[in-house]
Amino acid sequence: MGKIGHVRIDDRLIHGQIVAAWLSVLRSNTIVVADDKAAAEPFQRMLLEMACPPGIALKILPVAEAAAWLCSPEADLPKVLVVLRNVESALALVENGVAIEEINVGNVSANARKTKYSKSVWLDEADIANFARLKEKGIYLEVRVVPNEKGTELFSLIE
Amino acid sequence: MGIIIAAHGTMAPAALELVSMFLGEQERVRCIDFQPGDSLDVLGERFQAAIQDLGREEGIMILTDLKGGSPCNVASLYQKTTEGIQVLHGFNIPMLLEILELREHRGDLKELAEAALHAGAQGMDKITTD
Repeated sequence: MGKIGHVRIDDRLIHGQIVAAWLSVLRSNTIVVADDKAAAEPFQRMLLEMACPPGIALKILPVAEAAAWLCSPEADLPKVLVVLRNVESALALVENGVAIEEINVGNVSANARKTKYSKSVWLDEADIANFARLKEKGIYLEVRVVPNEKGTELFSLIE
Repeated sequence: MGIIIAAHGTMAPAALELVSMFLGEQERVRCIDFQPGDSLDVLGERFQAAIQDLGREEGIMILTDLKGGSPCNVASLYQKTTEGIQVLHGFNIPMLLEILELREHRGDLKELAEAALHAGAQGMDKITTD
């Protein structure tokens, strides 16, 4: 079991920063995309499979199923990179019993309702409330786009 | 044939400006940037606009920077769902030059893709001085 290698919130899911930067420092052998929408859309699945580098196992699962797998003895957690589209999925994973100590907040993209808190993190009030719930559970929230930059605690940017 | 260059940062317009120094101003080429904070939806809209603008009648070659990166991922989605689109990744300047020089003579996307990949590989080597 052990603890999960890395948990990242990133609405681009598998993309350049993950394949070119994170995977080389994390030494993960498995990416788990825990996302109801991606799991349900054959198209998204196909794209994720194309984006996943050779030699890395890929699981695209609805959040509840991902939680079950992450809690099963089958999962070699230190070798796992979990990718989540948004904070709701992170909260759902935790509420489904997955032990998480730290979450890397990567890309949370802009839209008309959101306010910019860093170059790649845009949040609305609901996002902030959900992140606050994760923080209350003792989870460290680190804003960091790529490994080669200093992380910042999320709420130090908000407050 | 239409060309789309899509890459992280401002590599796409920079690459186009560079090749224009050799080949003069290029028509039917569109550039797509992908910057920090840009959502995948915004990136998709940029592709949609460029594809509509160019038209697919004569085919569109899309050059992207990095396999697995968002510009390549979204472009792949268009290739899968739309006729007349070919995506390449890991593009370099020799590859782009080859495509721009040959596109009016070789109408077939697959054939041009092969020529471009060949030129791209030929264009990379080390200089030996002894």
